[in-house]
Amino acid sequence: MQQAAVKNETPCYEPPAAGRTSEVTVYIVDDDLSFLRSLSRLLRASGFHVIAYASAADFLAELKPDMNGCVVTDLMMPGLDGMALQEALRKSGSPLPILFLTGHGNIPTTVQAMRRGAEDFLTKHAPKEELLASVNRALARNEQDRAERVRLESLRQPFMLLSDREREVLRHVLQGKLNKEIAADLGIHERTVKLHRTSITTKLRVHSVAELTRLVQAAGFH
Amino acid sequence: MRAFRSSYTDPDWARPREKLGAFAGGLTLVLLATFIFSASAASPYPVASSGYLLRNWGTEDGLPENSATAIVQTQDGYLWFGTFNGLVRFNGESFTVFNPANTPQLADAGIVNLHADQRDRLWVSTSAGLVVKDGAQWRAFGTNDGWVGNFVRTFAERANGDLLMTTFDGHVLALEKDQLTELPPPPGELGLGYFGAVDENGRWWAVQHRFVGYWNGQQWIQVHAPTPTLGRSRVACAAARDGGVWVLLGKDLLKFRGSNEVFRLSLPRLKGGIWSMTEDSRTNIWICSYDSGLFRVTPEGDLIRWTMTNGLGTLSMRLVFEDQEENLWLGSSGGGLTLLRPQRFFEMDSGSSSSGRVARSVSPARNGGIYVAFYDAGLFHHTEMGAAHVFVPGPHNESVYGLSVLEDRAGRVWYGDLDSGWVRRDQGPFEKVPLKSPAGAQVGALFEDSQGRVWMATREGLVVYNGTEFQHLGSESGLPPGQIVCFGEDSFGVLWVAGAGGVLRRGKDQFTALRSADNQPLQGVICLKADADGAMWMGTRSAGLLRWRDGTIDRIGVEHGLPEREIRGIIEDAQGYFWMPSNRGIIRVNRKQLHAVADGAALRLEVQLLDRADGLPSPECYTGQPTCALDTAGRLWFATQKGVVGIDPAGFRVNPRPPPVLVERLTYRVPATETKTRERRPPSGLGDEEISVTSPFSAPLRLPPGAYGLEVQFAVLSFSAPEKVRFQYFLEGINPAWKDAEGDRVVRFHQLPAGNYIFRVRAANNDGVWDQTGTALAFSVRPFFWQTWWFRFGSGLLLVASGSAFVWSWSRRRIALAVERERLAHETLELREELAHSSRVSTMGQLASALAHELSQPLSAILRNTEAAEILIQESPPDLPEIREILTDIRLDDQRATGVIDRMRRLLKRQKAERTPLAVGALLDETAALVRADALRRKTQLALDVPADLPLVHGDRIQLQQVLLNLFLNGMDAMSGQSPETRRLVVQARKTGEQTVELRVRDFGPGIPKPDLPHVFEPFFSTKPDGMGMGLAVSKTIIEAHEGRLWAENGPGGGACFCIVLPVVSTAL
Repeated sequence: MQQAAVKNETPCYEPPAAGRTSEVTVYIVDDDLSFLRSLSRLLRASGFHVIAYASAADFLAELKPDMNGCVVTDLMMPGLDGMALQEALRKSGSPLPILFLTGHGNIPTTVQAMRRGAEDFLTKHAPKEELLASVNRALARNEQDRAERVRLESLRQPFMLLSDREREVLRHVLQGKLNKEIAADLGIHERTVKLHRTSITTKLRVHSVAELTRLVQAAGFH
Repeated sequence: MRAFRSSYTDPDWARPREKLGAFAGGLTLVLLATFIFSASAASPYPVASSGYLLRNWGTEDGLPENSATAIVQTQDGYLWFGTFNGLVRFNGESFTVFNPANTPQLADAGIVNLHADQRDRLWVSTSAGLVVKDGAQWRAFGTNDGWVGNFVRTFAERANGDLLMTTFDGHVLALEKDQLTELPPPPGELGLGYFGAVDENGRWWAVQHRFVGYWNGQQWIQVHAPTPTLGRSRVACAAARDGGVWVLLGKDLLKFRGSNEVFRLSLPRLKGGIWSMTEDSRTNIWICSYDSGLFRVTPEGDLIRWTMTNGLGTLSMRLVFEDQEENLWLGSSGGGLTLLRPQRFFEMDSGSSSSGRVARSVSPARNGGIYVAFYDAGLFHHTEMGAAHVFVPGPHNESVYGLSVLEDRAGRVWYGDLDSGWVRRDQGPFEKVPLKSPAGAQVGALFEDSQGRVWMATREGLVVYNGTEFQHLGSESGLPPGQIVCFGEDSFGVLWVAGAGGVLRRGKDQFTALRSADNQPLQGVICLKADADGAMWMGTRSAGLLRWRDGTIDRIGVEHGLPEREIRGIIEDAQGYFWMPSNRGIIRVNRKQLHAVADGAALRLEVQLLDRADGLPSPECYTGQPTCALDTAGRLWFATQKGVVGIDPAGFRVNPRPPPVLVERLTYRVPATETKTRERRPPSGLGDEEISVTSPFSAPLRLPPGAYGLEVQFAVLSFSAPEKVRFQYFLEGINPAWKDAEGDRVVRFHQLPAGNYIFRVRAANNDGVWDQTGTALAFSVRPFFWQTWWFRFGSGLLLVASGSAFVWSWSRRRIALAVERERLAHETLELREELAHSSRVSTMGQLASALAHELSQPLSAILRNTEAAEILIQESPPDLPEIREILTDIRLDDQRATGVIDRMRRLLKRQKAERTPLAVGALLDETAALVRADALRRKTQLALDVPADLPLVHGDRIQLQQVLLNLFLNGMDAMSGQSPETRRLVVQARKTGEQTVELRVRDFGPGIPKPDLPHVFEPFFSTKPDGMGMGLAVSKTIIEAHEGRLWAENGPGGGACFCIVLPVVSTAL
């Protein structure tokens, strides 16, 4: 309540400083400072926005959920290594794709990393073109993920308008039950079920059960 | 007189109530109700429970059995416990068990009760009779000595040393003038045991469910008739601290003086049967039940029940014992041994949402309670009503990354946050503090000066609020660039600031920098505190504490006894003590003493370092301002990494008891041919004998000629927090002065020349109180017969008398022999070098993959830099400074790659051994550089511990490096099977004696199996499936060719340790 009052009366905040977290950024993590510098230079010269970290812990300390872009990390580092960083990112729910660099490829680690969803796996002296292509691919995937999330969000929006009872009725409708059965299951009158159904179709702006089913699937509900 | 208050309302004891009566203030009581309870018995750190810290020991820690049936402390300071499987002596670190197998005088291993009397005798009631230990003598009490009954239920002692013993089967015996007699049985229920006690007049008391009374010299006088329905297990008795006798009868706690009942407290019905009752020096009464846990009656008369949820190991409690340091020990059946200590700090649980979170700043609130800024949970206000979250709006809905908070004298709340910068609340809602530019936020220190002005640090300088308006101070006021990290105000009202630009004072409008004696700005100062003596104290990041007074600066560092170099805050209490948060705990030290040390009038500080052992949830406090605060009630508050703690400094008591120190064991090795044994052990390492002598030592202690590897183990009998004990030792004849040490209670000397020595050791308890005298052990190392004067004299005579006769023939033979020996030696040397070389090549093979990786790093960096430069050079205009930096980086990377190759080539080269003086540190650094990549790949931590002032050793650099390389790789191999966090290789170099340097390479793997120890240096001995078994054999050859020694042992905490001793370069040459 205090929150609402403050919001309405004193709009004393600027919107978040532009570019602080929303700019698409390549986050580079490597404990070898010389290599970290050289890779940052190359990516910056190639037109990317880059932030470099000398350890996975430094990066995780600044990790925010609304970061956009991708992570390029060395696999072998003292303390938290690349695999541990990938694990930490996965646990925090961050959608940043991760791209591993290694001094020399090592098959079992590669397989493990790819299985856990690594975007790519490159040696540190891979050709420049390959490296840049991988970064671009990771960024594209991040963008796609974000777009997908926005789309799902907009599809899910109307479902928020439903009441709990309506949601319950909706679940039964999707199971293909007749109004009579639903009424019996929920212990309400058949006429009430009909009223709920009308309300659902109005709120979700659909006209048939088929359309309703499609909408539910598209929004990713089960 | 205690005021009893029967405030207990919960009739069935289902839920224990947690209170702490020691803090009587209104706020405190509420805060106490919000203590954090955790009950993980497995934690090595103490568990906090109702204001006490608990620590448990069980069989896994060395107890022979999971119980403590009785606990006493003898006058030498040892604690003794009884268990069902032997008598145990405890020195704070380890348990020594006495049972019939090693002490035949102890008739049985089942110990029922113990008593340490005034004459320093230890009375032991075993399940097979009563025995007394008097020094090294044992005496059994049989029926001939007047003994009757089964086992001793209670011991009680008069001021004159007479003893009262009651038995479980109803006998009451008195030992008067060393004569044991049975008193007539008291008129209670026959065949059932009594509790015994002695009152202030020396009267014997006996208490049972059918009798409460004392012995008047002729007969038993009943002073109270218990109700006939009282159960037999609902009774206990204990002597009262202020005279008289406590008696528990059912739910009534009574106190008698003579025949008069002087106190009565009605308790709710106690669950379970009672085993014993004790009053401690803080006048708590502890009641142990054998099936329902522990009960505490506070001095206020409240009752608190303790169960396993409070950290007890079992519900079956037997006794509470208070040692000389006022620690409480709990004995149990089945739950081991438990140490109870009052918690010095009280924690604040700010409700579910911020409990245990990172607290960055704390400030007392004017209307009571405190404000806390949590990093990740935002602002909280703790009041008598509990913890309330204060909503602060921010760019992302809410500001939760709190860094600083302060309530000024006008009642305005100032709050700094990572996301929203500086905000304040005056009458209405929070408002943003106007800044020059929004990007300039970045919250630093926060401070209110004596005139009520509020100062804030930002990235672009300072903002000050004078009550009506904000003013911005930047470079035009003389402020250097860089964030200000702290403020201070001296006794003249002058504002001081410190930060990246040094320490500055504010004049009229301008800041001027303070300069050191050599005219440099003062760097690294992170907190400021003015005192009443006109001094300004400065805490630094790595140089300890600085004092500025009248223009001069003096430093106090770790060499003066400061436990930590980084001082993160300073606050002073009303008693004149400084409390200084650091990342290892909170340091408490007297201000007068700090002045004395800074003036040079005293050499060392007496300091307390308060950490988890004192109830801090985390020893680490952050830098910033304000991170600690003093409230109007005189309490101190500290923001730590795991929440906020408070302490009442007026109630703080230092543990005043200097810890007794006792040498327990002396161990040394004797070369195989010189063995003279006291106690033989299986041979170890080189086939030499290891000999161990334990206390009591027979004087004089004489070690045989050639004895080496001397280890002195001792006990420091301080039980409050054994891990915080520090000690100093001093070997007269070798060490020039006392040497500081902590950790394992053992000191090692590698090789001592023949002579007489006195080993001295002294220690400080957990609060830094030293036992100045300590203990001493005299011993001598006997010379070899050829080192004695009579042998030298005698052989001289012999030589003169008979030598000349042989000279002629002998010299002829000698020439021929010398030629032959020379040829052999040459061949041997060549062979040895050949072997060393091939072993080296094979070792390098193991490293090849890791070295390739190390080489690929600079090469990849060069590639990326070149590519970046190619792009940059096409831009117009090209960014030339950047390209210049790239070229510098490329050159450095090239040098790095060359370095890797050079190190590799040097080891692979076949070359003649060459002895030169070598610096041990450089040798170790270079070897570590070779294995660094490999260690990283194997996730092994490599720690080098090399003092800077080691003397040079004489040797061949390549060969010594080869030995070290071998040991490093072996150590890492040994740990490959365990989890990465435990893979640690520690390399230590130490000067041992005048002539030698010792290198220890220690791993934390499984160690070397005992049967393998004598064989590890034999050729072709290997435990690795693909090992050749030559590495260690070659290493030993190399070290012996250097006139050194190489041996293996297992570390005290597990893992193998390889030790190299090398002769130093003689300075006389």
